[in-house]
Order: sequence, then C-alpha cells, then structure tokens
Amino acid sequence: MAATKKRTNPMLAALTTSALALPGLNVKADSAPEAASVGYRFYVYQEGDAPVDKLSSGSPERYSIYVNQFQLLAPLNESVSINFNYIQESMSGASPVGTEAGDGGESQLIMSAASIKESRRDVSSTVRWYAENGNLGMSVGVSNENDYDATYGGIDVERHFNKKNTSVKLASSVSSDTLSPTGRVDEQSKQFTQSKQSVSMVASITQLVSAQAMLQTGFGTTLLSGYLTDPYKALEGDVRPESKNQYTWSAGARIFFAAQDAAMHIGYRYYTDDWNINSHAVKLSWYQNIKYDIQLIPSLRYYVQTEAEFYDRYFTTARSDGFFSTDYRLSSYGAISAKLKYVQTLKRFSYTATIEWYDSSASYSYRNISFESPGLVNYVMFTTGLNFNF
Amino acid sequence: MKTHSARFKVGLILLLGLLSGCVAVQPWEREYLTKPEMLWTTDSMEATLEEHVYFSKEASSGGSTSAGGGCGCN
Amino acid sequence: MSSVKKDSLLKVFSFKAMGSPCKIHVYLSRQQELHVAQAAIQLVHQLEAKYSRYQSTSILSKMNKDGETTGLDNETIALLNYADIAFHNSDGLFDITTGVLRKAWNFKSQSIPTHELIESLMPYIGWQKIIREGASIIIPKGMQIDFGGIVKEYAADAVASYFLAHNVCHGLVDLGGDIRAIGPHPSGKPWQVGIRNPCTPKAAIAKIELSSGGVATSGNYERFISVNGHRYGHVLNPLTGWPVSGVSSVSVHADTCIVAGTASTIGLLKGPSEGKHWLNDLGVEYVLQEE
Repeated sequence: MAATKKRTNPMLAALTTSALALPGLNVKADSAPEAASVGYRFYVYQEGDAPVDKLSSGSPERYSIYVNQFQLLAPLNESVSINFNYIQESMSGASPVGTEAGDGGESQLIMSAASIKESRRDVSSTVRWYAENGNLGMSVGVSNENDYDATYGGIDVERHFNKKNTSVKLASSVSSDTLSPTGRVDEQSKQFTQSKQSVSMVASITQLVSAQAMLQTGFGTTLLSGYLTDPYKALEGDVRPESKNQYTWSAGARIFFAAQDAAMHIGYRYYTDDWNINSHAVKLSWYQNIKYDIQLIPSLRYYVQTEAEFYDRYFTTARSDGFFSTDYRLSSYGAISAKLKYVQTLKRFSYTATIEWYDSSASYSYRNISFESPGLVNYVMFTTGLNFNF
Repeated sequence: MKTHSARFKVGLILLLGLLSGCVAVQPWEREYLTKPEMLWTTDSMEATLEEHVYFSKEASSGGSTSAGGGCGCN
Repeated sequence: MSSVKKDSLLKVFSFKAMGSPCKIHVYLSRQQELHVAQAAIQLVHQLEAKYSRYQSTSILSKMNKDGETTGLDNETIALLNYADIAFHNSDGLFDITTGVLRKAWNFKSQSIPTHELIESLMPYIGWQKIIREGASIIIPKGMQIDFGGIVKEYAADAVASYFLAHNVCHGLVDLGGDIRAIGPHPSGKPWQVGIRNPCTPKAAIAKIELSSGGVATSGNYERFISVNGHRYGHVLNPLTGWPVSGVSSVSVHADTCIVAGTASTIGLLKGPSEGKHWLNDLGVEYVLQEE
C-alpha cells in the first residue's frame, strides 16, 4: 500500500475546486426554514408596590402589563423567508415621576395617579434572503401608543467564512419616534409634540472553537438625537440633553456538555455613553435537555449601572448646564434577575412556561452607593406560549 | 473535561488565528454546535420582549442586532 | 467528539441504483432523520434519471440526441466543467466522449475489433471537439458524452452532503463501490473500507480507514476479452481506442468521491509505473494492483 501525506498538488487543487462547485457538494450553509411556524406568547408583568414609607404623593400601585404576542414565520421559497410579529400590550397602574427632598432630607418618591391606562401595539416584519454563504435581512415596524409613535427599520448582513467556522455580521437600524404626551399643550394651546431619532450599528464576529464551543464578540453604537427628556417627568423637573451617544462591547459563548446533554450560554455586555452612564450586564443560562421532549432552562442575570452626570435624588441648586433628572432609571444601582423556563415538545407543538423575578437595589451594585432611589423597580413576569410547526 | 479557562484560552488563540484561515471544526463535527439550544437566539419571541422590558427599565441598551422602536414606557 | 449520542442507532439502507447495489450506513437518532435518509436515497434516483445513458428521457440522452443544447442547468454545467478540468489535467486520458468505442468493443463476445473499425471511430472521440459556451453545448454529429465515470461518484458526495446539511453526521455512503464517508462512527472511530483483490474477491488486500472524504476504485478486471492468452480489459484509452493493460485496479482516497474516482481512472489509464508516479505526485492515498 502506497500512502503519501497530502500536499497541495495543483492538479488535485484544480479537480477539488471544480468538484466543490457542484451543487450537490455544497452543504448549503444557510437556507430558509423548511416549514412555516406560528407562535403565541402571553405575558403577565407585575411590578412590586412602591415603598409607602417613602411615598410623597400618588399611588403606590405600580405597573401591571398584559402582553399578547404573535409570530408567523414562513418560507417563501428555498432561499427567502418572511416573518410577521405582532405585540399588543395593556398597561395599568402608576409610575414614578421623580423624587424630591423629604422633611428630613431623605428622598421621597413622587408617583403618578393610579389611573394610567395605556396600550401599545407593535407590528413588524422581516424578510430574509439566504445565500450559499450568508444571509441578509430587512425589517420594518411601527409601534403605536396614544402618546407615542415609533417607526423603525433595519438591515443586517451575515457572511460565513472559512468553511463556516467564522461568521461576520453587520446590522444597522433606525427609528423615528414622535411623542405627544397626554394633557400637555404648547404655547398655542395645541398638543405638545416632540420627536427623536436613533441610528444603531452593530458588528459582530462568531468563531467555532471546538466541536462543543463557539464564541462571539461585537461592538455596537447607537446615536440618539431629539427630545430625550421624559415628557411626563418634565413637569416635575426633568431636562436631558438632546443627544446621546451609546457604545457597547459584547461577548458571548455557547458550550455544549455532551455528558450532561446540556448547553451553557454565557453573555456579557459593557455599555458606556456620553451621559456618563456605564453598565455591565452578565447573563448565564443552562439549557438542560431532559429525555427528548423537555428542556429546563434556568438563567441568572446580573446588571449594574452608574448614574447619569445630571442625575440626583433631588436638586437644591440648578446645575450649570441646565440638565437635571431624578428618574430612578438614571441612578446608580444593581439588579439581579432569575429566570426559569420550561419547554415541552409534543410532535409539532412546543409549549413554554417561564417565570422571571427581577429585583433592583443600590445594594446589589458592587460599588458603594450612598443613596438608593426609592423608585427602583422589582417585578415578576410570567410567560406562557405555544409554537406550532406546519 | 477541560476547564473553562482552558477553553477560553483556546478560544482566544483561535480567534487570533482567524486571519490565517485555519479550519477549526469540520462539518461532520458540528452535531452539537448545530443543536437548537446552541443558537445565539433560542427563542426570538421571548428575546424581543425581554429586550423591550430591560430597555424600558434600565438606562443602557443595545448590543443585540435586532431593530426595534422606542416606547413611551414610563 | 466525546460521548456517543444517546439512542443513536446504526441503520443500513440497501437499494439498487445506477446499475449497482447501493448501501447507506448511517446513525440516526430521531424519527425525522428517517425522512432525511429517504430523501437522500431519492436524490440518487433523481441523479440517475437525469444523467443515465440508458434512459432516453434523461438530460444526457437528450443532449446526445439533439447535438446542440442551450439553457443547461447549473448542475449539468458544473459537471461538464468538472469533466473539462479532469480532461486537461490528465493529458486527455480522462475523456467523457470515450463511450463511442463501445460500438467496436463488445466484451460479451470473445473477439476483438479490427484496427480499421477502431480507426473509423477515433474522429468521434475527443473532448476538445465539444463546443461549449456558458449554458450551451454542441456535440458534433456522431459524438456522445457519458457521465458514467462521474455521476455515481458525485451522487455519493451529494448524499453525504445532504446528510450533513440535515445534521446527520455519522455514516458511510456506498454506491456500488463508490464510497463517501458522511463522518466517522459516533465514537470517533473511522470506517474500515476493504480493498479487494480481483482474483480473490472475498478477501480484502488492503484497508483504508475512512473518517472523511471518499474512496473510489477503477478496475479493469470485471469484464475482459481473452484472445490467444492476451487479456483485453474493458478500460479503453481514448487516445488509442485500445484497452489499457498492466493495472488491474486502482483505489484512491480523496476529499471527495468524485475526485477519488477521477484520480483512480487516470491512474489506471496511465499504466503501472506512470500511474504510480502520477498518483504519488497528486498526493493522495491509493492502492494500485498490477495485473
């Protein structure tokens, strides 16, 4: 038996190259889904009550939200797919307006009245083209509330290299939003209307590193401009800059554990912006397969952020730049979220049930925070849903 | 089983070696990598909503590749 | 790869296609994967129907009958391109127009054709006489093309690719001796492919360990004409019109079965010493058996 080590012979290279050009030899890297599928989710989102002892005015009963979500994903042919998404949210409850100084110098929470009743509808669609070595998606959507409208769109391109060991993805999206807060009028007694725009770009690279692991890393930026102040908080004192430049760096890993028949997801995102906020978010999930039809997925997420340059729990003197806010979202805090998801597959159906607890507190930050905003949110969210594959 | 730190070191080295055009994983070795639970987004519906909730309750957002609209979330 | 996938069972599908017994050995773990296997077998039958010279409805038969064909599909164009590359890399030995010589050589009879008959057919042989441009081809009158040495090997590759595309990663495709690994056994062990001796077909004379890529064999021993003690094998040299001698079979292991098939054919046509030299140069694993 004459065996020789492989080396690149030009003849062999020529034959191999033309063989690989044969359609049957091209393991299609990307292809449209083979069958249509529909999904439905129902969410119940309930925020914990505001602390009554720190309440200066308004209702302590914070938001309850019910969400109906539908998705239809259908292949149009071998290389094009389309999806439709519909989200309908009904919100009720009170929300924090800001904080102010109490009698003893402590910060007190100003809540809105409990009468807020809102609904939001979000309709979007994405068309995706699949090619031999990548895919391209284009999406458009609109989100409507009685006091807020957003129109958005995006385009993303993914290209595989190196026999699909490496993939590069570029995505860009824009959003144009119009705010018309209920009950606010301008100088001419007409509806007060403002607008804002955002442009986002993300570039990411994915690399397979072994038969069980892959890594991803990406950079992103979002540039916001226009009226970035919260119109409902503005009356009590909330003025924000008219632009915000956000930057993110993210990294993630997917690791399969064959002995356990489980997959681990690790994700990290660093965020910084020119309002002087920066944050770290870490998420860890464990996808445990149980038999062939059940998946149990516990997840933990840790989040920590620093406050905006113009945030304070209350202001006794005006800031020289004229910006100020007491919005709890712009304060320093940490948040822990724990989630448990259950997925049961039955032939063409899959049923999912999820519960998530989200708790935010200044004490969860690894930094030493002297004053916690009494407006920090805690919530529980239940999700249940079905998917059906045709 | 290798330790995670070893995996990451291997991963970083391979990421650096990207431009050299090395092939790390052959197509027939991708049985685990192509499992649905190894996708970067395993449930696009729930991911969309989760992102929306975090977006409306936290000061920072971004990093994902999906487009979305703002909201008047108070 | 580490542990064996739970409940993954080795299934063997036997069927007949392209005039040969075929076997697909594959590890399946889910019910849906049975459909993948059925679709893969269907793929072989589709390629047979498309390129068989025995079926008058095949694209190949139509091309040969019409002489001039336009609007060829991508797969056919890619196969013709492949044949072109193989022709130019073998000094004209790998030639898909050789089939015309079958008019002279009847291996069921025990007589050899006259030199005059061979010479009268030679003008109708030669890939360089085929006119191609984009999706069009002109086959001059009297000439014929034949994908016999390409399509079965290509089908083995296509079946393996199809399985891989559907996340079935462990198996072996054997289309009448044209072999292509989908991937090794789930344990990571390679498949053992036996190379037989033409004289003692039951015993393997060599084993090729196959985890990836394909193995194809070209043999000169299945059919032959024996005249006055001289053996005339059925593999014909397109440059002379006469059978080649000296090599009884060549098996080649390459990244794809189609390239393995082409290399084994060229190795056989080149004869024992030049064949070995050429295969060594090519840098493939091979087994060459002299007559």
